[in-house]
This record gives sequence, C-alpha cells and structure tokens, in this order.
Amino acid sequence: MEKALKKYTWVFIGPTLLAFIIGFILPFLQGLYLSMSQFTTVKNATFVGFSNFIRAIEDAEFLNSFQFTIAFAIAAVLLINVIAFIFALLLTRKLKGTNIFRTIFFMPNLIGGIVLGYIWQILINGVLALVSEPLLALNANAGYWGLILLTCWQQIGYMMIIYIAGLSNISEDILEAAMIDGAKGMQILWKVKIPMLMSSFTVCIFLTLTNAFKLYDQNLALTAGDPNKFTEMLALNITNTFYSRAGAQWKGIGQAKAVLFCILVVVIAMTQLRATRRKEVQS
Amino acid sequence: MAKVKLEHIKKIYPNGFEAVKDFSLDIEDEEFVIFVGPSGCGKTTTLRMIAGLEQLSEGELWIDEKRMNDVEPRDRDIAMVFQSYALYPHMSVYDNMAFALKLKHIDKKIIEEAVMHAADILNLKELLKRKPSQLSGGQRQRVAMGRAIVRNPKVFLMDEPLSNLDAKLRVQMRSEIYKLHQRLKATIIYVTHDQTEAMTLGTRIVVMDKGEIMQQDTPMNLYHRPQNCFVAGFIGSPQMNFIETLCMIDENQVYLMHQGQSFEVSSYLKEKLIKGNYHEKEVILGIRPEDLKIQAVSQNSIQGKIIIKELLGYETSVRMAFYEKEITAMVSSEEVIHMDHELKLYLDMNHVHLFDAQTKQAIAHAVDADLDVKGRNN
Repeated sequence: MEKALKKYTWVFIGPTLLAFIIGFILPFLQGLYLSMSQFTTVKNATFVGFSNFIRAIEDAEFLNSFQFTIAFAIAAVLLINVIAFIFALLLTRKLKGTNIFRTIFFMPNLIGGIVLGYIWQILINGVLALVSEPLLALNANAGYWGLILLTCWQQIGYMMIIYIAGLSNISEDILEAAMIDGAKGMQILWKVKIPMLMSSFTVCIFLTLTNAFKLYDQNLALTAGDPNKFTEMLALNITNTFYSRAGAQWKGIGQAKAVLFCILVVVIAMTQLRATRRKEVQS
Repeated sequence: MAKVKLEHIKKIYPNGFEAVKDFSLDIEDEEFVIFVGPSGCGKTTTLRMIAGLEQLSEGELWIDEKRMNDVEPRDRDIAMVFQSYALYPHMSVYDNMAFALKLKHIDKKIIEEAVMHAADILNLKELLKRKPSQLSGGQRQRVAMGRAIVRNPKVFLMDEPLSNLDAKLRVQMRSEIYKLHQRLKATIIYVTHDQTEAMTLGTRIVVMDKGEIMQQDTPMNLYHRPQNCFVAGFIGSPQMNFIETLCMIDENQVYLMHQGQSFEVSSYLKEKLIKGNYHEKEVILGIRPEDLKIQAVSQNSIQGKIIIKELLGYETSVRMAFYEKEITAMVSSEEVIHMDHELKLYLDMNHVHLFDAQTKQAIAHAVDADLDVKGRNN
C-alpha cells in the first residue's frame, strides 16, 4: 500500500504544487524583483537596486501609516480577544438562549468589509453629528476608534466561536477536580481554564494580529485614510502609493513597501506563534 | 478521618427522573465502603452528592457531625479520584499533587514534604517533573491517588478509578489501593460496577439498583446470604442459577417441583417453607455454579445437553440446556466434557438459596442451617 502510494506521489502532489508555484511562488519572486526595479508595467522594469526600499522608509506617509497600524493592531487585538473570551465564558454557562446569542454575535462576520465600513460610517457620522463633533472625514481620533469598533464588531463573534470550542473541550472532571481541590471561580479561570486554552489563544491572537495588519476594505470604506491620511493603514498606503501617485518611480516604491509589509507581518506573526505555542499543553 | 452519614437522600432531576431514592447509610471511621451496581443504578450520583458536585434534592448529609448539604465541595475536606483521573494537563506531576495545598497558601516546605511523602508511597518520585501526557495509564492513576493523599482529607471518594486500566494493571492497582487503605486507615467510599473489585476491596458493600439500596453487608454475607434475587444474581461470577419451582408440602414432607422433577430440601429449609406457609406457592431455587457437581446421584440432580463450555484454566464453565432455561456450572477442568452431550449435575442442597417468587426476597439460605443449630444450642 505504502509502495503504491509512493509511486503516485507526484500525481497527487503535482497539480497543487504547480498551482502553488504559478499562483504564489512566481508572482512573489517577480514581486521581489519588481521591488528593486523602476517600472510602469511588468515588462518594462529596470533594475534599480535597494533605492526603492530606502525611499519607502524615508516616506513620511508610510511611516505614519506604520505607526497608525501598530496602534490600531495593539488595541484591536487586545479588545477583540478579551471581549470574545468574556462572551465565550458567558455563553458556555449552560443558560437558556446561548445558541441564539452565539448566532447573533457571529453574524457580523458574514458581512463583507466594504459594506460594514459604509454601514459604520453612516452610524458613526450620525452619532458625531448628534454630539456636534467633526465627522469622520475631519476627525482622526473618531476614525481610529471607529476602525477599532468596526473590527471588534466584525471579528469578536468569530473569535468567540474558537474560544467556545476550546472551553467546551475542557473536561468537566478537571473543573470539578479543581473545585474539590479548593479553587474558587477566578482561580479556576486563571489556573486551569486559561492555561488549558493556550491553543485557542494562539489561533485567535494570530488571526486578529494578521487581520489587523492586513486591514484594507474597512479602512477604505470607513475613512479612506481621512483626514489628510492620518487614518491610512499600511495596506491602504501601499495601494495608494502604487495606483494613486503620479510618476514611474512610485510603482517600484509601492512594491518595495509591499515586500517590507510582508516581512513585517510574517515576523510579528511567527514571533507571536512561537511565544504562545510554547505555553500550549497536550492532554 | 471521619464518619459519613447519609439520611433519606434523594436525587430528583428537573425532568422528574429519580436517580437516587431514599438512600440512608452510616459509614464508620476507617471503613472502606463500596457502592456497586449496574450502570445507571445511582452509585456515581450518590458519590457526587457526597462530594458536593450534585445538589441533594431531599435528605441530609453529615460528615463528622457537620451538616454538609449546603457546603461547597472545597470546604468539605474530601478528596476525589475520578475515573478519567482529571489531572491538570498543563501542570507537572509535582504541581498536580501540590495544587490543593498551594491554593491554601501553605508553606512551600510543608507542601514539598507532603508531596514527597505521597510520591514515596506511590513510587512517583522519578515522575515528579513529567507532565500527565508523558505518563502511562497506570502512572496517571497513581498521580490521581497521590493528589488525593497529599491533602490528607477526611474522606476519600473514588469513582471507578480502575475502569480505564487494562485487566493486568487493574489487578495490580487493586492491591495497591487495598494496601493504601491499610496504611492510611482512611475512610474510603469507592464506586465500581466490577463486583470483583467490590468483593476484594470493601469492608462493606452497598449493592444498588434503580436508585435503591438492595443490600448493604460484608462481602461474605453478600455472597452467602443475598437478601434478594437481584443481589444473588449480581454478586458472584458466573452468576447464580435460578430455577422456578412449585413448593408442595405434604404433612412433614416438602418438595420443590420443576417440570415434574422434584428437589428435596434440607430440614432447615423445610422448616422455613412450612413456617412461611409456602404450600402450592412459587419458590425460586438459587444455586451458584460452583455448587453444581458432576456426580452419579439420581436425587436432586438435573440433566441437560451441553451447549457451551469455556475453559478458564483451573475450572471449566459449562452451560447446559435445562428445559427452557440455561444452567451454568463450574467444574474441574480435568473433567472430560463433550459439546452436545448429555450432562447430569447434582445440586448441593447444603448451599442452595430460596427466594419468594412474588417478592423476590430471600426465604432462607441453606448455609444458615449450621448457625441455626448453634443458635438453638446456645
């Protein structure tokens, strides 16, 4: 059986591998090359070395969007995970109607980012108008918190489902053993439940962190970077650099920013995975 | 260690199902009490009520003269060993055992002493740094026991602690638990559905069925003097054979009739049947497989075709068809037995048990004849 399988290894792996090479590896390598080129289309690229990277780093708008993205990611990751975990704890309490609430909390995740962005733009602008504050287009602070609010609303339900799955996986016997051992509610939470949920935390923090860095649709629809690019996040900045700036040099710089962005997301995500995976337990 | 008293305890679930019906029991200090019975008989529910993991619907629970009905599990001073062991997977063996003491903020040195003492008793010293996932089933079971010992509780509760082990390890751990009881002199309440565990470990066994106590007694009494058909059938393996008979009393002669065949009972049983006025009433004759002998005696014997034989080593279990019933006998494995051949078995009437067919309660046990004679002489 094993021999027969070995014989057909490439038949099984081949199509997927080919698709992966054509769809990911080649464009990625070409992207790397283009990040070191000046071009308007992929066919007229001229190699310029690392100058695109230097100009990308020197670009004040890029640095601003980097800072904004970091500030957004920290708040979003914390809020989404804390609130999702609290909801998961509440909805695993064997109370009536928990299934209805699970569904309701999950539903925003089914709506696309652009649609959500416009819905929340109307809502937030409505509230801002009521309290006589500048609207989103002129209010960077409201833009920042608006983006966080929108992301929380969209992602809490999804993360909550992952935490609920993790909590349901903890054996009732272990919780009862902790009760008999003398642990009170909060002690059970901190000393038994949370350490046993590390794999759920790994997944949820990874997802929320990468989602926060990659956020584009919602940013475009809610603030479009206004006012004056104060609320422009990395992905939106890269797109704007590539498509909205005049001059042949900007495409190469946009591509260089994209490579830097990719490296940043991979490094942060891998560091986080390593840190939380170490604390995971095998049952 | 402590006394445990259960008074008229009931457990009724919201859907009306009565899992435990009027359960009363006094457990003395240092006793090893076993709750045994088939699945769903309420033994684990009763244990969980003692632990405080289930609310009592009715009745009172006392541990050492203190009413425990509304006391939290952590304040009952009990320790429980779960069927699944329920070890904390993220903690080392040491931390698992020390957890309860750490929660009480006991001095580190005292905790270490207690853990090392328990580890010494259970041969766990070399495993203290390991995580539960790195242990075998038997080792996990020992850690679960260790976690209970470290706390030095008033009562140990054990919920089928050996059921997840393989047969060989179960026998080994059974004797470990027995030795542990001897050493700790602890009050232990132990739940099992395995009657061998019950018979070998318990100083007293509580046999349960459908939420009720069927009999509570010493292992020997349960075996020799079952109070009803349920206990007679549940205790002993292979289980007791039951033959439905009609009691015929003719002056001083008593016969038990089955399909035209008559069995003559001992004078002690005869007296009991006459006193109980069992003439023309149905009586169940119970006899254990080991009390059926292959002997060339025509009186009090039954004959039938062998349908199954199982060689168990020292003995052979033989099942034979007897009218519409199947009768099991344990015979020496040296006996030559052929499938489908006729077999004649002699009933040792000095070891039979009689039950009222209506109430299923015991009328008399032939083994009590000696006691009766001694009692009269005294």
